[in-house]
Amino acid sequence: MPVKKQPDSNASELHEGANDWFRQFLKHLELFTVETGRRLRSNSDSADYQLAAMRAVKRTLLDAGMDNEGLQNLFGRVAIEGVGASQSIQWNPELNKRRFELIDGDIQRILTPAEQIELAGLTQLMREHVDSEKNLPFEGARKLHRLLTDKDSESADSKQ
Amino acid sequence: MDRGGSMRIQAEAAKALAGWKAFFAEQVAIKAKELAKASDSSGLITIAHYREAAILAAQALGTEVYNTGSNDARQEAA
Repeated sequence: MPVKKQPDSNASELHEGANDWFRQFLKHLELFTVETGRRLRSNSDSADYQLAAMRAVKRTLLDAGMDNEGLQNLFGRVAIEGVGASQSIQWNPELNKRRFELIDGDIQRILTPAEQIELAGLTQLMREHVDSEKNLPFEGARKLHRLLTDKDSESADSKQ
Repeated sequence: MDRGGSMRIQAEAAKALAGWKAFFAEQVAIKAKELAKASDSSGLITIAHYREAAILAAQALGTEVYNTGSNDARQEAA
């Protein structure tokens, strides 16, 4: 089960593993932008460039091992965050309510593509919340651990 | 973002540039790590390591650029 990773305390540093991954990502992204850019015309505008860039991002992430569903969840996850958000959104009752509204729309097949992305993002966020450390049953596990270790020490005492 | 002019660029040329940039970045990362290890900087790679590594990587890049592509391409460019 995936556990939400906590950020390190020093935000002025970058881990080598992340840096290596980003460098590889950028290399492949640039090669894919050449591919997607080849289809642009001399009269293409910024919107065409943006679309080509997003297609290159998609191809790069798929090339890095993601599947289509994961990619949609990831795009949705980022899309629901505010522009320039320094911290991730926390799951809350309003988001839960909005997700149920979108699920209703999905069942009725009336969702727009943007709403489908939003639903994927909310679902991803909800999964992260459910899988996060604070929602894991640690307290129950601790009680069980205490119970077992207490019994273990009691049986050791009775043998002496 | 600023829009370009009317020049066109060969896709192969754009790919080669992407490759050179990636080569340079890779070399800087590798050499900076070696320098950091040698300087006992407690696992932190600094701008000083990167600066020194970049100078070394630039030299390696020259060789890489020279070796990339065919002689025909170099003659065509000349």
